[in-house]
Amino acid sequence: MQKEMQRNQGLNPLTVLYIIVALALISVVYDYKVSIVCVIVMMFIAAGFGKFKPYVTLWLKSILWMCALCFVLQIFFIPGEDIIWQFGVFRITREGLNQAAKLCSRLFGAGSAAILGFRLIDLGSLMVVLEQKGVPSTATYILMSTANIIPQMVKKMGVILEAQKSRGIEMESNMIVRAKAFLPSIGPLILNAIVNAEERAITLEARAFSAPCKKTSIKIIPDMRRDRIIRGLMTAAAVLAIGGRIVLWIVLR
Amino acid sequence: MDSIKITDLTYKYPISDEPVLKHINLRVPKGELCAVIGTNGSGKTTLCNAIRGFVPTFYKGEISGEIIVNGRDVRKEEMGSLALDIGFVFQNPFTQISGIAKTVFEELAYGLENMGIEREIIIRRVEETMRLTKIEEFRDRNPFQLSGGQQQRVALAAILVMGQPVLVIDEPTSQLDPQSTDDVFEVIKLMKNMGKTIVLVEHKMEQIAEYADHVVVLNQGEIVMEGTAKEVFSNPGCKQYHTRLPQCTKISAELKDMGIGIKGTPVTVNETVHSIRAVMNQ
Repeated sequence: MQKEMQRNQGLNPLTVLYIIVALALISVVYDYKVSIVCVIVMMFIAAGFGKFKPYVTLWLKSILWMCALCFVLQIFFIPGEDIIWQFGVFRITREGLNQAAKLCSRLFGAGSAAILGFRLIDLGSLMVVLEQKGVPSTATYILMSTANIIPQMVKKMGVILEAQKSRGIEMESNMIVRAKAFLPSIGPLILNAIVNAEERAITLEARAFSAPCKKTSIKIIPDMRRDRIIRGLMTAAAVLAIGGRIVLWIVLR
Repeated sequence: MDSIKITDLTYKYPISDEPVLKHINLRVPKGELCAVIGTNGSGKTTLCNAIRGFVPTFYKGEISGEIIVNGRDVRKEEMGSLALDIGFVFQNPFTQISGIAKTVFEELAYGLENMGIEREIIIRRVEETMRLTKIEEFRDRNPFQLSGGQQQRVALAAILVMGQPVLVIDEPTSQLDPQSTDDVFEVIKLMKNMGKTIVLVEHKMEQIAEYADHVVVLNQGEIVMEGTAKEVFSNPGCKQYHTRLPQCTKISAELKDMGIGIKGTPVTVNETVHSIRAVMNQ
């Protein structure tokens, strides 16, 4: 099992997290050209982990769309003096274009990094590492259980919708009808979650969650020299990037 | 030696006007299975919560009296440290999944990880418990995707693996079908054979007659009857507390009414078969 884990996931999840955060930071502090380079690097990393296709599919469906939409909205609605193009009430200004490029470049870099993390990092392993690094187990539990329980809630939502439909609540019609159906469907879900939270707290107590013991883990997550080197490099890169940005900002002013 | 010793326990929930438990005195010797029966609202679940220390720490409210489990005063212990002594399984199988494990194997290991057991020992104990409770086939399945009965067995196994000497089990089969009920009782029987002290709340009288060493009848927060299953079920007063008799006991009672001379009050299938045979041989 151990060997298999090493083969599948050459790097410690924390190292992957460092790489992703560093790339996100770099693309956020610089302009769109750097962001594009960062995203290309991310594609290569995904390919290196054998996750190129799932990453790009998700990326095309989410980040690219979001950025495109955001860009279009921004260029039309940010006011400015220097008009580049005009059609009726719609106008594009240079200021708007700059502003839109700046914002979308950040969204592009950070968003692409976030979904790369989602594709590459096994949350369970990351939590084990974080716990070993001293993050309180309550915090890691909340992250971990949220990720696991959301699909359960989605399933429950389906059940509630069916139940409310069978009681005659109209769900498939125009917007107003759907809006009316919103409260009776979301209400039970929230109440349910609250009741379940109490029972789940008891489950955790029964499993010695708050027992005064030092916790152990059955997962072994290798942390090798190369992980530490990469983490060092990434920290340096992030610091340099931010430092460089500050210097540029002072010089350009 | 008494594993559980409750003296004059009275408890009131923060929002209730009357105490839910009134002057409860109960002793459960080590290795015994004590079944608690009674109507809904008679205080069975609250009694379980009191033994495990969830009242008043978790649910608040006013409590008086003394609860000693394995020589430790439950009311003075931290709720967390009691987990090492008392296992707790309750009704709803769906909320007894920790929500943190991806597989049944990890689910079972979770309690032991929290107890700080070494990795190799955890793996050995989980393997053994899965074999004993016959859940090996679910080993790599996501615990959320199991059926209610399977989840309840996983919940029982996840407690059993932790190895506490005292187990409190609150209506484990109330949401399960007959086959799953039998499976769950197989696990409870296994726990009993391992020498665990068990407090079991249950409505299935046949199973209680079969497995319980001691039966306690609760009514409106008070212990109104106690004794062996035979003593309780053969007592005519039993019916006034709306506890159903085991089928076997009913059959023999009806046979008796018809003038067939069955001796005593059989409560289990075996006893009934014996009694009827004895009559037929005469």
